[in-house]
Amino acid sequence: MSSPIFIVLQRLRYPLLLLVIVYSVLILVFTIIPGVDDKGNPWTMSFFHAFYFVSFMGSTIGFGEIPYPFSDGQRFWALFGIYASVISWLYSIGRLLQIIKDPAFQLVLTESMFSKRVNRINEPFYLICGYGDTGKLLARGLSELDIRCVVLDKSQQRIDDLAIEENDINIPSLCANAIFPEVLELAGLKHPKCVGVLALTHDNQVNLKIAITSKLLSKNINVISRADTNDVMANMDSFDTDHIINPYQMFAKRLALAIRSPEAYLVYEWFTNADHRLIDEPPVIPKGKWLICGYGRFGKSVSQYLEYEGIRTKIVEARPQQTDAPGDVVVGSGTEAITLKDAGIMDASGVVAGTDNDSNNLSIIMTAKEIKKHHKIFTVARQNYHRNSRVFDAAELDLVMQPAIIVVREILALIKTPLLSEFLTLVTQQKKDWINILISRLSGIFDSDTPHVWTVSTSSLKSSSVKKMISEDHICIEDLLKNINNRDRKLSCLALFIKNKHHGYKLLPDLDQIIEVGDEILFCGDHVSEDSIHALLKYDYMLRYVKDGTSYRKGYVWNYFFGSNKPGIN
Amino acid sequence: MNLEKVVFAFFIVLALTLNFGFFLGEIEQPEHHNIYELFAAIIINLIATIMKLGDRSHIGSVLLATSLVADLHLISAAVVWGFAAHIFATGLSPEIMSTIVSLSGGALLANLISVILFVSDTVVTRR
Repeated sequence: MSSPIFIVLQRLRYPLLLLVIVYSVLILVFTIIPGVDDKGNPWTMSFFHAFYFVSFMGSTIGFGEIPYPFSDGQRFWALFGIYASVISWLYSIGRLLQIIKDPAFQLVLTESMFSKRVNRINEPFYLICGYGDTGKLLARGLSELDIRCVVLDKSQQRIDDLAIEENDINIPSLCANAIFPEVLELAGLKHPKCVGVLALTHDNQVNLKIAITSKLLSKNINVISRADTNDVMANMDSFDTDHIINPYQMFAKRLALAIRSPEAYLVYEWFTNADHRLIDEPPVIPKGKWLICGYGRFGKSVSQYLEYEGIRTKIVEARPQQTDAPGDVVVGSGTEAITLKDAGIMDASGVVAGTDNDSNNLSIIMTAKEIKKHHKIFTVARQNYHRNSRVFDAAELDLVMQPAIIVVREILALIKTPLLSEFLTLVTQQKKDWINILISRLSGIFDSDTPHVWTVSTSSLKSSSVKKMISEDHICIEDLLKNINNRDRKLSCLALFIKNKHHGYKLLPDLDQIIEVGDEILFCGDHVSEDSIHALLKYDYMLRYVKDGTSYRKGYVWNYFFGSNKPGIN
Repeated sequence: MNLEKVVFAFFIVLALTLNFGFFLGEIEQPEHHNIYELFAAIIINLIATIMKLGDRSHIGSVLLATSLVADLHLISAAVVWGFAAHIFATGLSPEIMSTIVSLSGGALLANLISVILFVSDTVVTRR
């Protein structure tokens, strides 16, 4: 693609030619026409004077007849020159404005400015494709974490929204269709600092195309994609998409987890949802019959996972043919009392409003609550649009499923602490007793604070002496959890998980677990503990102090003269 | 035959020949170098530059670059001439004249490259 300046020059060829020719003819003739100087001697203009006069005449500044009053011949030619130059300037400026206002040129200009902004980014960034509810929340979340991103969306309105919105970090954005590889490249797919592509559009096929393009064009890039159906998920998995997120399935899985193991659900929620507190009671999910209104992607996932847990479900669906509903489906939207009664709401203990229409979902829940005024019913609703949050809050539902929020939380967790989601998956497979131990240990550190989780990797340590200590001196978890100012005091911090490429993983490692090079350790604690542990893994003398109590002095020189153990001897 | 191509070639070659005409002669002798010829060379070079703006091929960008070099040389020569004639006390001394002519010699070289590129490109594509 040519740069905008060359496009302008190319289209301005004729105006420029006209100006050069008009000016040259005017100058040339002025050097020939005879004139008279102030003493009455014959005189002709030099090129210098002619160029000077034509320049100010052409721009209609008009300094007068310089250097000597003109002869009639010169005045005649100046008269001609005034009109010729003014007309050619008008034509040229008109052409220039026309080019600038041309939509095609504007497009080139926006694209080139966008590409410049992307190329100037000098820190790791993510490429977000699709700026709907999910993209918007994610961009906000990333900017809170001080992570840069680039946004693509095919709707100009959404891109304008982004420009108006107040984000802490400036986000380059472009209105373009991300299914085209050249658009992804323009947005920095091959940029050395581009760490990941997030395909978050509402269209499964578009997400699929983005994922496959990114994987093919850029080898080491992290691709996280949203997918709503199982076959698209399988398709993405087949070419190694790093993370595939199906919000409907994730929600259904969590619902099933809450039924099977409320404690594990509590831990899961506490780590992924900032509003959730560890001391909260887990939701009590009734195991009677459930009504599922709407058998779309959401309804299918929920009924499938509820049935895994041995819960009977009854489907209510307005279009049973299109949605492939089971034989005993009740036909209707579920918003009328009669349909719900038909489906047996009187003896149901839970209702799921899972249509793709927010007002219908609210209507289903309100109707169900009205019918079961005197009995308790567990209500779950799908909220399709983030802007409806206030109404859904007011409806006092037991659980709200918001696809955008589920996807955003999952992606932010993956970006912030990749080890956390692995840990949580393992937690959900543990027995009740083990989870109770985890909860009691966690509540020993936190009371109501939101958890702070971070990962430490011993393979990417900068200090070689720290590495050497780890591989030789049997440093254990307990050492890392000691205060660097006073080794008798402990940090309020817990090691949740150790993962090693060669030795596998260990959940809740014991305090005497020995650390090895290549370990990745997931910690949970306060910010002071994080700083302390990072310092320990940076400076060998601090590590030595917490290990065996050798007090550390300021530095090498100090140690050499005053230190009890001189460096280089051990 | 294509009128546009004829005009294009005409200006490229004319820029070279006018430039050569000005350059020809004793380097220090003002009588050997006509100011109108320099003026014509500058104007034709500018026109050739503008015409080359439209060409988007790779050879087009090299042609444009050589033209810009020639413009730079010739305009510098004109500026030196203007300074010598109107501002310096010396007038058109032999030293000044040789500066002007050698600058136009530089432009001549750039124009020569331009014509060679143009001809070779024509030969390659027409075969």
